[in-house]
Amino acid sequence: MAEQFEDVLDRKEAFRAPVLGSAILHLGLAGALAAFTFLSGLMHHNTWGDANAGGAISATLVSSAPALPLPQDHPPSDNVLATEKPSPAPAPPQPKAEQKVEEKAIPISAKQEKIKTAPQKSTEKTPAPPKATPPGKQQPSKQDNRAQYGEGTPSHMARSTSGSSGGSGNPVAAAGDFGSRFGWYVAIIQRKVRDSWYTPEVDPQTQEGREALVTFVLSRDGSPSNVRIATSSGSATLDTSALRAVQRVDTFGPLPPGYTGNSLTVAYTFTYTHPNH
Amino acid sequence: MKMTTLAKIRYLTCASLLLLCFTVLAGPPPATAQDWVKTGTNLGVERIRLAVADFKPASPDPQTPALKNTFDSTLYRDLSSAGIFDMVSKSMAPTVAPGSPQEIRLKQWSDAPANAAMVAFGAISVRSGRIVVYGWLFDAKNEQSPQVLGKQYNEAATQDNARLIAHRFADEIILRLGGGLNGIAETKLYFVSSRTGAKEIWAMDYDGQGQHAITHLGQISLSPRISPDNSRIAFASLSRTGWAIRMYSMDLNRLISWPSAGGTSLSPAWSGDGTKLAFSSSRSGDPEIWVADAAGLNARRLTNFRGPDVSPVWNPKTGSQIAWCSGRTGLPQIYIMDSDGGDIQRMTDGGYATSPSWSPNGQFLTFAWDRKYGPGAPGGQDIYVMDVASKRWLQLTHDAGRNDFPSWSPDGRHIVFERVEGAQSEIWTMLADGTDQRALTQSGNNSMPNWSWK
Repeated sequence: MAEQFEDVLDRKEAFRAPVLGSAILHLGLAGALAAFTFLSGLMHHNTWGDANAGGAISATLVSSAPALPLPQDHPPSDNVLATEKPSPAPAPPQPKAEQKVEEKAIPISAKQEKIKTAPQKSTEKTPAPPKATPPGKQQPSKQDNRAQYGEGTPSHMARSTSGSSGGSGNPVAAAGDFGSRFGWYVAIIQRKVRDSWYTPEVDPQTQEGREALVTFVLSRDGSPSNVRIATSSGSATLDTSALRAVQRVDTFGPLPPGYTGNSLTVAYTFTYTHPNH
Repeated sequence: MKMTTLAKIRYLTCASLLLLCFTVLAGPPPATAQDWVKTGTNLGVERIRLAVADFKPASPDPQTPALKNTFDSTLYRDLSSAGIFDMVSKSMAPTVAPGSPQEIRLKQWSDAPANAAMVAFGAISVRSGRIVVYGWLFDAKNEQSPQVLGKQYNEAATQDNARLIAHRFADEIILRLGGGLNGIAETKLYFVSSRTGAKEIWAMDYDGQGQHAITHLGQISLSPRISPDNSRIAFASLSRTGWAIRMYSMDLNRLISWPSAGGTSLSPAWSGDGTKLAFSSSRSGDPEIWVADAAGLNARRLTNFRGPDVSPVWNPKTGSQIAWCSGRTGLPQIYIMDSDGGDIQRMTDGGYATSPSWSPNGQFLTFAWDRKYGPGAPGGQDIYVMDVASKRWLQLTHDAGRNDFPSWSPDGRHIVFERVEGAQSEIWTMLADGTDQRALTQSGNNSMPNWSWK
């Protein structure tokens, strides 16, 4: 009976078998891992979007290219912090320039007369010329510092000037009232050509403000033809890019139904600004 | 510079005589008169600010108010989704409904707060079961000759026709002011929906209205492609013999026969002139791009490379190039080739790129791309646009579900695509620069949209 009450703790535990089993299991796992690595290295596998699989692609915005037929309100900017819409808040007021009034100065009467008599005939849409004020007495206009909220006002600038000059400097309105009657169509021409003008084509050495004047003829269906440089800007690349901009446009849409002529001649001035501005 | 008074008078007389001569000689401009306009890049460009007045109900018919509301909301939505206007919100516009050119006071519209450059207005009436709409578009800044457009419409008085007239009037305005590109308000979208159980081909208007099933096959149908003349739909369908191209006639409202040469045939694509069909077929063992004529005859193989080639799409402008998706280097990438199989170019540099669609002007491709594809990679599947010539691209969707199957609209200003969020897949539309994203379907699972050609 004494054996029956042998202390459990004194009994020798089976130790070898579990240790051996554990060792075999771990060795097996390590072996399997090595074998898998070796085998998968031998087999064909995907490149998982390897960047050097093809040619390098630069992440440039396509919206700087002209062909999306959507109006571009703001030219694309490389600045990552640039917002889609510029802030409507006005710029801080400029420090007022001290107007130096020379007490002894006498206004030169001959020059003033010239300003007054200069004939300023223009079409209805051009804004009235500013009133001539004697120099010295002119007050700087008050800075309007209010934030523009809500829906902003569109500019009241003339959308176009029209008419051919009759030699004496006075525009002859007889055959040239298209701009005043169909200002909306002129705006379409202006917008479409500008949207298809690709300024990165121009040599960046070109001076800002250089102007190329391109003329072309629109037929009744609105397709441009006879595109040519009327006044060169002096920069070959600017001239070429201006020609290409017009040639890229297939059609400006049919000429207005109220217009009786069968073609329209357009003179388009391209003023160069650097694309990053 | 020193001009005596006498000389000045003489000069002025001369000039005025000359002017008189011109005026008399020119008189009313002859038919061959050539007008001059002068404009340039430095005049500032802004979107046309367009106001839409509520149309004036001009008949006592009890149907009128309901039809007028449909018309007004449809017209406003069409114009605002066109992507080329700066719309005057209805809360800013004057609360008047001018019904004719005599009733409109342009100053009311061109002044703040509306500041409109253009106003669309008109009258709607219902007489003896016909809906009659007069619509005008006026240049608000031009008091002398403001009319840009005047239109009259007459259709049977139904809600659908009120929408149709609004679509047509909107398209006229968009054609006039959008520079010669036709509007898309009358186009249709074709897609796959499983809301009746099986995946069938469905159709809807471009704004999501009027969704209805086209096929009732009770089988799985995928990738519908409408023909350029809107007469037939080609799609892939799983039948007892496997995946095959099927052809559905919109004129006969039934399937018409299209030969199957065995193997798996998928992803049909019409050429721009509607005379040819490109598709993917494994009849020679490996899925390759094949081209057949519209009746399915004279099939010939274009690609010959190990790895799957699927989802062909033609360059709609020239019809001489095909973009497609190929797995020849492992993961699917976008390639383009000439329509005879030559001059193969790879477009995407990696990742997982599928489902190309070519823009109507031939300059851009849009496709679904997962640029960081792989287990644990942070990639999301998004819609991209790529300039074909320069291979520069623009990402259109960001951090919103998995996006796939983009398709260009015929005006090139919109893209329709499928977005999967959770388990729900719906059809979305957006402008081609990625803005103005909107869901078109809300119920069931909808996928693989295709925009009609006109």
